[in-house]
Amino acid sequence: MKLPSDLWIGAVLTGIGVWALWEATGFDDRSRTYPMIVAGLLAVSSASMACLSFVRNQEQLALAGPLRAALPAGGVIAAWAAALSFGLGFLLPTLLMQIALLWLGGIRGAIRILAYAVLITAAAYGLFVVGLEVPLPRSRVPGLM
Amino acid sequence: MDVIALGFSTLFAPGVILVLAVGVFAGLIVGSIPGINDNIAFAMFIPFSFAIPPEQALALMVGVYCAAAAGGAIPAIMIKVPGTASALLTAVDGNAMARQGKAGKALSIAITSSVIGGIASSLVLLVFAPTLALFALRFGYVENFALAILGLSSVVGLLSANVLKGVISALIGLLTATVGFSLVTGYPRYTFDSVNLIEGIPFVPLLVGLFGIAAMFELLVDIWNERRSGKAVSGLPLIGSLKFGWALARRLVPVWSLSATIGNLIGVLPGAGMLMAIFLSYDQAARRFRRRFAGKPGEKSWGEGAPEGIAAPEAANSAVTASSMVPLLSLGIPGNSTSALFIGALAIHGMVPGPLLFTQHGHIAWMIIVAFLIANLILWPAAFIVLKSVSRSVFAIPKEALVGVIALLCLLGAYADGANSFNIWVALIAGIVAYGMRLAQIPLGPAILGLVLGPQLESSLSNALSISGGSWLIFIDPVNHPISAAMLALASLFWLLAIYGWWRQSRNRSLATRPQSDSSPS
Amino acid sequence: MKKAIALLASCLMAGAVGAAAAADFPAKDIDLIVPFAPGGGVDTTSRIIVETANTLIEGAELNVVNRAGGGGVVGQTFASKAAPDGYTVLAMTSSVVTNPKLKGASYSIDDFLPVGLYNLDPSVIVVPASSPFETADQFIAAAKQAPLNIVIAGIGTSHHMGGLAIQQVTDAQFNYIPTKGFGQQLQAVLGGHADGALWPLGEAANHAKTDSVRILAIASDARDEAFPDVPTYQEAGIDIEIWATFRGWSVPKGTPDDVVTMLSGLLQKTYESPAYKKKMSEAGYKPVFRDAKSFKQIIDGYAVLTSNIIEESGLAK
Repeated sequence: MKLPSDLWIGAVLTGIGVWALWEATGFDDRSRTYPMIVAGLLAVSSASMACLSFVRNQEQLALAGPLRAALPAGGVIAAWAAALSFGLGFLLPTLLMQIALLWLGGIRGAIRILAYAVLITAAAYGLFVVGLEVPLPRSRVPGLM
Repeated sequence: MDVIALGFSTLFAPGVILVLAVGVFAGLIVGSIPGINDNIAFAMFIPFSFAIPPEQALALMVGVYCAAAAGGAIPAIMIKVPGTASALLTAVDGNAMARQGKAGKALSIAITSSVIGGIASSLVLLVFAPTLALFALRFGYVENFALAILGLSSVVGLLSANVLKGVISALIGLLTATVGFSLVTGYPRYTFDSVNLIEGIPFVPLLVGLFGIAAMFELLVDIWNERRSGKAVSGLPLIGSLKFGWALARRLVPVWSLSATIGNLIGVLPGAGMLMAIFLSYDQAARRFRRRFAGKPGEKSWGEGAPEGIAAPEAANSAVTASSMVPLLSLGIPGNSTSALFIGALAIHGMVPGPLLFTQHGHIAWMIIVAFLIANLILWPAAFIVLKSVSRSVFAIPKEALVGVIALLCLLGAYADGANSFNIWVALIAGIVAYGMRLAQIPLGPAILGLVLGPQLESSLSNALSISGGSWLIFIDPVNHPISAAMLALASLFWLLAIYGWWRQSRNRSLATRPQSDSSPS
Repeated sequence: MKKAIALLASCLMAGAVGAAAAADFPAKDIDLIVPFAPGGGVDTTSRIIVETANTLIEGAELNVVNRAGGGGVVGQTFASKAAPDGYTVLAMTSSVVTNPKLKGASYSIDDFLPVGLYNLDPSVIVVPASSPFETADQFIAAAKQAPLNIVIAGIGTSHHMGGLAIQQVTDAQFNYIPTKGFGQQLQAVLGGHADGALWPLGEAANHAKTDSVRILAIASDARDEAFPDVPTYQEAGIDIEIWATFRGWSVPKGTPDDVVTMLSGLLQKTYESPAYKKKMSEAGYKPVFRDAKSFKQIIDGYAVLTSNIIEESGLAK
């Protein structure tokens, strides 16, 4: 299905605006006026953007790159964040994330990837944990830092 | 004069001046690492400052504060990832210029502009602090509302491409800023019952995601596109020659003066912040560029490597640094969130900013003031040393490997703000949203301005109306609130000028296209 | 670096002070959770305490850990769920009492065991130096005629509830102007953009000393030595004995009694150090000490006072 990008992005934003407007009606009297105005304006202007896409700016989104490169990277980061919050420690998830991101970035060769990943992980550990003394999430697995 | 000499003698004690220089170098590094900014660095440093004498601790902080604003421009220009929020706009023209093979020139313009803005603001701090502090006191709820409107209006000049999308972007920012407990009644708005959202979406992770993570996605897709088209992946721009010539310097003088003035005025006003200063001065520089240089032979278009696009935001963000100390030192009111951390550092050493500081600890107060001047003088050579050594080797890292580095720095920087895993998700989602907005060609700038000014807009509006008993006329009352009336008039002038410009543009376009369509057969 | 200096300092001081605790607690470093960002009042006071306290214990040290977010609720919730072994101590403020009701925090005040209190900051009525009100009587009388605009830190904050309490016992009318951040509040008051403010004494004191603001009354049972001319609320005809925010230490419920006693003793010994007292006063915080039992009484008293206000004014979520 091919749709002009402004049409469906306008539709999504209109949806968000309408949802925020509806949600805001449940706030108390003095807290709702401002978000209702902002949400209403967002819905109206997004809807006009969607409508205008019929008369001008029929560009399609070039989604191939984002889907093939950015989306997997987002997934990798989400997996890392989940592992960190779950308590798998810092070093192992970070090393795996770096390996995945380096591969997605186009670096090839197992040894090169591993070397870069170890280097980056160690540098980040040095900067944040040793240097800035940031407390890391507690690890559930004994022995994993 | 005696007191200024007292400041200098405190500063030039052995150890203190050295620490100031260390602070400048550290600030350049901190500023140029995406994900870490002066705010985070201070938060980490304040505990450490316990162990050292107050002169040294504060000299170090002044050095870091001045230099971080300048350091943010380095990655903004080299890889289009702003090192700090204040380099957000520098990334546009700066990176464009770097991709044309003139990275050194762009960096040099950025640093020189920072130093000039910084020196201007240190002189203002040195000479006009008491006067300007009284000016800041005239800003009540009414004036703060008008200021927020003026700040939001500063983006209209930049929206020539697509006005509607710019407005949508600003509205996204304003709506996002309403998340959290309502200041007026304490009602939880859009918090989904999460305690992490009580004070709104955590701001540092949000900003880090909006430009750091989004820029990482962009870099990744660039590499993917280059690889798919069969070309070798282009390296990072080479820094090259750092010279930019006297002719250009002369041309930038008006931009520097105007941006430094705007930065100084905004810096003095508590709650306005660095971002508003860079947007206002960027807008002014864009107007000037369009009027004077656009379309001339040899000139790039705005946003594609115009030197004014680098000079204006950099001069403005550095001009905010020292001037944000004006209300802090004279009244005890911090000008922005970074200068607020100076309160913590002073308190740890048993000092409180405000008039008492000058009477009880005059040597410290005046040392801070002169340290800003000296820090900016050190900054110029220091920045070139950092560029020639550290930056040259850092940016020799292959672009492909930088993706992971930027991601990790940004995510950990977000996490470090409160040591909370929730922040990582905020940064990731903000990055995805910002990248999506980029794909949809919705500009990010208005959204960030909306985020920063949203809370001020709503609270000052509701408080002003609460005090006035619901009368809207107070905002344009020329007798009791002349500053508000003048700022609102200026804001409407921005809009009128922009509307006139769009009208003229569309008329020119229709005049230009009409003969063509007449001559075509169908 | 920080650790090294602290370690060095503790080695040097250990000889002078002598062995502090005989029990095997603490066997490792203790985290003092500050649920706010560095640089604020709780953070500053915690760091001043830790500086002295680390010279008094052996074999381990106290570390300040900032867990900011959600107006303190994120860090407070973290502390409420920590292991009850004494190695996680919360820098507790009065907001812990009211957050479950006002902000929907998941813990309750009973999830914490009080250890000791180190700072009690009474609420004060402040007006700009240019204000026509010279005394609390004039102020309250004017507020009975027409509502006065009063700057507060936010709806549901301790000082807001203090204002509501004044309204209950007098017939004054206040129009609250919630203003985030002390800097912005100071700007509103110094600039004369509001009629007055309700502030903690600690913050107001430094500005009152330079005569940029005037303190009209103090919500304490006794006058403050620094301001002998300022009447207490009761002397000024406002029938409220004490309205004060507190800062202290608490640990998760279930922490062994001897560990609580040991921590309480550490806080007391810190309080007894002259260097500590000097530093706290200079930073604008009056050093006091109350042991676990009397801290508990203060907490309970505050809970009763505020829950009445919260019920009657419909602030509860």
